[in-house]
This record gives sequence, C-alpha cells and structure tokens, in this order.
Amino acid sequence: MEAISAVSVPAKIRQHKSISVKHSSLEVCKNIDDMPFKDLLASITKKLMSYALMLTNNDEDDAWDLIQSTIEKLIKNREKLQASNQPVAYAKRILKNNFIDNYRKEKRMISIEANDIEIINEGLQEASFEYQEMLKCLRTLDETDRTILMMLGKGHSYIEIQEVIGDISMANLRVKANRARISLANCMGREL
Amino acid sequence: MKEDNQLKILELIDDGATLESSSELKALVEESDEATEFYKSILVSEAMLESFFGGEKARQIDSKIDTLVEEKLTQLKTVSRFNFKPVIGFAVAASLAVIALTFIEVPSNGSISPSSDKEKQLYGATEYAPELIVVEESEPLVISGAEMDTLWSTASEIADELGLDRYEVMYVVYKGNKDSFIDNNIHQPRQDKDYFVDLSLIEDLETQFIVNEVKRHIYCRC
Repeated sequence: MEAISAVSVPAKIRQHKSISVKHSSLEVCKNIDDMPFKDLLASITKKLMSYALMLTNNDEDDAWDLIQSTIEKLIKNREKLQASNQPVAYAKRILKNNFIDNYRKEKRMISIEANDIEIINEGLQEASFEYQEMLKCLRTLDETDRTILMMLGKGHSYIEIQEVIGDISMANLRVKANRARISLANCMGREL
Repeated sequence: MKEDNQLKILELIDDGATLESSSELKALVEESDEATEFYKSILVSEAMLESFFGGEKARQIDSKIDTLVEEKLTQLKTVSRFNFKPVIGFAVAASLAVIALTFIEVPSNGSISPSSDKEKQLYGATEYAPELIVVEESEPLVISGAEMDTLWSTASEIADELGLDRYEVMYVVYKGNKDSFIDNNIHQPRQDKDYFVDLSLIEDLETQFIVNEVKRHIYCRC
C-alpha cells in the first residue's frame, strides 16, 4: 500500500519536510524525501502560479516567465530545496527574488518599498468589464489577501495556501481568508 | 452590517447552505437590504474568482507546468553531460600558443637565413628551412544558453577560469552573439541559444574601451 494516507489537518501541518499533495480526490501529506524530484517541483510550482500571477498583476505571460525562471533556479538549487523544511516557502522566496530582479531589469516596476509592489503593466485589456472590476478590487487588497483569494479561486486547499503564505496558523488563515472574501465582495458590490 | 453576520453567512455558504436549504442563512440574508446585497456580492465574487483563476484554465496551467518541469529536467540532463571546463583549458592552451606565435618573426619566403656576420659564423652560410610548426585551431568555447543565468554571472565564472576581466568576457559573448540576445538587449540572453566565446574579438582592444562599451550596453539595454 502506498505510504501516503489521509491524515488529519493538524497532523499534516506539524510534519517537517512534508508537502501537501493532491492524490486523486484525496489531499495527502507526503515527505519530500520520498517524492521524486520531478513531482516535488511540479507540486510546488503549481502552488506558486497564483502567487506569480498576483505579483505580475495577472499578466499571464509575465507570470509564466517568472515560473520558468523559478523552475530553473530550483533545479540548480535542488539540494537546498530538498533539504528545506519548508520547500514551498523556499521556492516562494526564489520566485519573489526573481520577480524583483526581472522587473528591476525591465523597469516595469514603479516602486518597491517594503512589500508594496506596484506595476505599470496592466495586462487586463482582454478581460471583460466585470473581470476588470474584480481585478481592480483585488488590487485594493494587500499581497497576502490577493494570494489567498487567487489560490482559493484556483481551487487550492487551505493547507496548500498555508504552505505558500508561510508563517500563519490555520485558524488565522481562515479568518484572514474570510475577511478578504468579504472585502472583495463589498468592493464588487460597490463597483458593479 | 456586522462583520459577525458576514462571517456567519460565509461559513454557511462554505458548508453548502442555500437560501432554500437553510433557514438560518435565509434569516441572516433577509435581515436587511445590506445583508441581501452582501449575499449577492459574495456569490458573484466567488463565482468570478473561480471562473477567472480556476476551472479548465487552471487545469491547463497545471498540465503546462508538468510539461515544463519534465522539459527542464530533461534539458538539464543533456546539458550536464557536457562539461566545459576541459574545453576552457584547451582553449587557454591554444590561445597561448597562438599568442606566442605572433611574436616569432617568420620571413615571407618561409626560410630563415643568417643575416649578420656573427650569425653566419654561428649558423654557417647555408640557408636552412625551419621546422614546420602546425598550430591547430582550437574548438571554440561555447556556452549553453540554458546554463546562462545572466551574462554577468556567467561571464564572471568564465573570466575566473580564463584569468580575464569580467567585462572582456561579457564583451566577446555579446559582440559575438548579438542576435542571440532578445532585442539585442545585453540583459536578455536567450536560453535556447549557444554562445561562442571568440577571444580574438578583444585582441586589439584597450581594456578601458571594452569596459566602457559593456557599460554602455548595460545602460542602453541595446
């Protein structure tokens, strides 16, 4: 029998060097040492896609470039990734550093002050009016709230979101997520 | 509207409650116009979030990521088989040989004859043909674009190996492979190209000129 099994949510979170993986309809916790590197890399990258989209202001091409360069760096730093207790957080840091480097190079970023990142690139022209309003509302939220909502929209579980957001308890994450959902709904109620 | 009520509505929605199935939700939603408005907004925003970021599009992205990871790992295996350090060593040796030869004056008729009396005494009057020295051109040093993170970092590594200045390596890589940079931008080397390192490009150039040229390209992104 496969060494993976459905475990309770708190147990999953406490395990070091583990990562949540969707296995058919079941979400399970896997030790990264037991995973083929390819699966680990794919699993982490899928979780980070929403974060990449958030950073690039939903510009898919830019997000995709960011994901590609992150994958390359993760492959180069394979040992560090596999040795990390929090591989998703490690990969997220690489992605963010990549983003800062790339955008500095291309001068597409207006300012990077603390964690507040504004981007000129809109990339929303093709979206319909309603989506533009939703994205406009999303931009009023902070980075963490946006990431949470985008990951929820993509169908990620709270455990996966917790892995990406990092240092936050599950209870706090749920409260934060609900408040973000309320903020978005209220904003869209005003806009639409 | 109280945040507690909004949170309660959210929890009920998450548990799968609808206005038809849950009297509690219905009571909360119908409590005020504001609550009704909030309920509608939450349904719209959640549905839009899901349709914009989730669904078929999300599945396509996931599948694209699987393919990309596979591709990058395969690419890495191929690149890893090629270790360019021995090639660098060979290139250095060959370059030194070429440089040494440029300091040997060989007459145009291909023979060396003693010119002064002293030389005639030493070597005798008879002309002799020099031993033929054949210098084979070395294989050019090639950097794989897949290995190149940035031109700066790659040039630094190679400069260390070759004992050259970083700017000199950047110069030859850029000048010799301009078309392999996106929009001729020195910051954007293409990963799918190979870059030839032709050190002859800097043979007659002053280091300061090279540094200025590279800095100019860095500044103008051209």
